[in-house]
Amino acid sequence: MVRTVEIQGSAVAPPERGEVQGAESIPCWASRLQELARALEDEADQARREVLLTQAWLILHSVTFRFLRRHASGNARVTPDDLEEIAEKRVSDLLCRMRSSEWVMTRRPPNEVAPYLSRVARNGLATFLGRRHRRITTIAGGAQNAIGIEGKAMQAAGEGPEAGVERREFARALRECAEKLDPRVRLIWYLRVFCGLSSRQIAAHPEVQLKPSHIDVLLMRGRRAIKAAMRARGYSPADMPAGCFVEIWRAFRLEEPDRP
Amino acid sequence: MEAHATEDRILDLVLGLLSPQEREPLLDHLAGCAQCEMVLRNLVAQQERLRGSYRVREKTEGGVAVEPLAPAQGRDRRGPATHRRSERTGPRSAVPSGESRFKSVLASLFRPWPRTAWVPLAAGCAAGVLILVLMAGPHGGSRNGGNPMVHPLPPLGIEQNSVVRGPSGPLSSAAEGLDAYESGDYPLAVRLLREAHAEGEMETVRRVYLASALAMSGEYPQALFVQKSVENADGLPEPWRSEFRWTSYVTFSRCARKASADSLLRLLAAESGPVGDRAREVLAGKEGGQETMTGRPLKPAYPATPRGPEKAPDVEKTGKAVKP
Repeated sequence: MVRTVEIQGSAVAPPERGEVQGAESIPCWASRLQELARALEDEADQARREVLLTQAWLILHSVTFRFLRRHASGNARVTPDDLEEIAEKRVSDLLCRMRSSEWVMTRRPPNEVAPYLSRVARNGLATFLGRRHRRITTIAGGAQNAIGIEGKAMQAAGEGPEAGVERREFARALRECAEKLDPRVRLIWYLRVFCGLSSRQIAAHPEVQLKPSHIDVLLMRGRRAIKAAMRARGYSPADMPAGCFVEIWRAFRLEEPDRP
Repeated sequence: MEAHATEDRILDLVLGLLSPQEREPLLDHLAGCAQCEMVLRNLVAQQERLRGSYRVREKTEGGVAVEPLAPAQGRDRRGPATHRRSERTGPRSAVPSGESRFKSVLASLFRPWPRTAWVPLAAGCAAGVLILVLMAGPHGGSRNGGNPMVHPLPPLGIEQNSVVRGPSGPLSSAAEGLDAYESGDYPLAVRLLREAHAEGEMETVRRVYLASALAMSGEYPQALFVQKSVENADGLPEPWRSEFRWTSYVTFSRCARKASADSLLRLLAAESGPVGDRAREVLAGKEGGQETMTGRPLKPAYPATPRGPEKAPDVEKTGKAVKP
């Protein structure tokens, strides 16, 4: 039996919406990854090395996952869970290779990092699909799926200035209501409402570290407080418009030194 | 059309790698673009999920392991130990819990207070009494002081009344609600209009008057809810349309939604008629240094009870006999 694995498209993923390719478009994360690799070589303290490894892991995972999504776009049989699985494995391999100096990233220019990770993602996807006897057909122009929009409501194209004001007002009101919460309750509320983490994941989050049952109690308390405060301002938190996430993230997570 | 941000750029933002000069315009764009905001949200959520699910550990033999995290065990919801009372005051057993904590609170209430404790308490009471006296001063309107006032809607004309009060039973409580509204009994109007059920244009009438009655009763957040539910508010005939918008302006102000209130006020100030005059007066007060207009109601805009045929609104002119 002949197993066929077809992957169309170049090794380097096509440019994203609005993306201009060239020397000036080298992303900062690539340089940061090289800095981390350099720091890892010099660092003697194990705890500090683990912090650096965690930071590198988060960057590698985000980028690899993104390339995987782009390479797999149009293939309905590859689920997000499959992509998570591939990314997890490939990024662990990369970290091990980086730690053992098998992958010496620091000797390459930063603009080679992204193409390399794209190839890693593509090969990982091919291996995964070959193993599962799957056939990939990457549909050109499936970029909409690649950016992870997931069919969520978009901003209305013809949104008038009043609607924009209304949206900003809502976001500001939500931020002001969230400011009144206890920081820990606020973090739990944020992780659930905006990031969709389960109680177990929130409980294990390094900035929370509580029992899952306590998470539920605190979450309920936070939700009630937000709901009451928003109702007092004439809003229903259920109809959260676009812009709320940015407002909350900017206010409470952007300046966090330990944020992802 | 403004170009979307690239995912690389958004990842740089998430990782804190952008300078403030690069960051702020990008954040402004993200706040206004649902598509780019979703990309940011996906990235952040993914990273938070990873942090809550795995831990990167260096193996002793030199490799790297990404291990799943287990939720913390044995920690309580009171937060890190350093913030807890037990850590500050002594051993854990010293912290009262359950019944003993309740008893200790009771005991502290009946314990004689030290003499010095009375001084700040007396000062606090005096300040509170002074505030209450000032709030209930001769000018009254303490609730409205420094805030714009809601104005009652003009009464319905005979044509509309005949529709509302028609032989159909379900509209009877709406008619009674409108009677209560016109007589100035706003809480009763709220109750009756809430109970009433209507359809089509009569439902618009009911909601418009219910929102106004709620605002007149001081229930601004609820008024705002009802106002939002009014369909085609811009299609209301004058003067209901502008009065409805004025009520919206007041409820926005009372609900501390200043930007919406200011935006609406400027639109109203560009209009003619009593509502436009009112809006211009408030705007002039603001621009002249006053934060808001005084609580004093302005001259009554509409005569009361135009029930007779001779006082009915000009239906031919508006062309919309049923809508308020």
